[in-house]
Amino acid sequence: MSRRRRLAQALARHALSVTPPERRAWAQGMAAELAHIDDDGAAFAFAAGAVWTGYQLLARELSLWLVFGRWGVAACALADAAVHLAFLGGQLAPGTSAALSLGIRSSVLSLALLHLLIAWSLIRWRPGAFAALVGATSP
Amino acid sequence: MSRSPNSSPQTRRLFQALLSQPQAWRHGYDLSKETGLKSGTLYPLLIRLSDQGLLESEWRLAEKPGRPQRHAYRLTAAGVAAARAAPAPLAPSPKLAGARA
Repeated sequence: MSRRRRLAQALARHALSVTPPERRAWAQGMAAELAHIDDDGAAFAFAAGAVWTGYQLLARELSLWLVFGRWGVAACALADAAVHLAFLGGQLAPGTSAALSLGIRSSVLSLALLHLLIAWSLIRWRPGAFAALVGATSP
Repeated sequence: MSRSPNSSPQTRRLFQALLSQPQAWRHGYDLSKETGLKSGTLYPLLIRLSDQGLLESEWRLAEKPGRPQRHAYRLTAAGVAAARAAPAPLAPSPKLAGARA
């Protein structure tokens, strides 16, 4: 077996390993096709395409997870903002000074607004703004 | 204005090849040679058409003994209709061009 043929088979195995499970029949189909290509150079080129296809399918799946993750974190940020806003309407402990009360309420309001902005940056997909806002909320 | 999802030149070439023998099961390598599309372009197209219900696939026994089964493809009824509705490719596929030369 020629070196190109061995390389083609290795590429086909790699394509199988990177292709998402629900799409694996396609990668298996491409790998099986190699046995029907007599020319080693053509088999190598075909297998290289299988790897490219596998990574395309993987990227598509990952971007789908990124979308789900983005909306999930945005929902959490909105819920967090709602909790902070609800806290603003509550009573502080008796005897809390006006200055301290103002400070606490300002901080809580700031956090609520920051979480709203984080949700906005995720929903509108502004990665730069998201990173800056997450940095601002970190202690 | 958005472009029709199956109107790319590559898709039209693939449609043309599949439509030339709509009942026959076709193999990836043969389609690649016929359309001039590299496997890395052809298979994502096949997968997309399959997802749209325009293409069906199945494993079929190899014609040559001792070789593994092959994954084969053909248009569904909806695929045949979509292929007929799609505009013809601007340039003929390499195989057709060779036949004319």
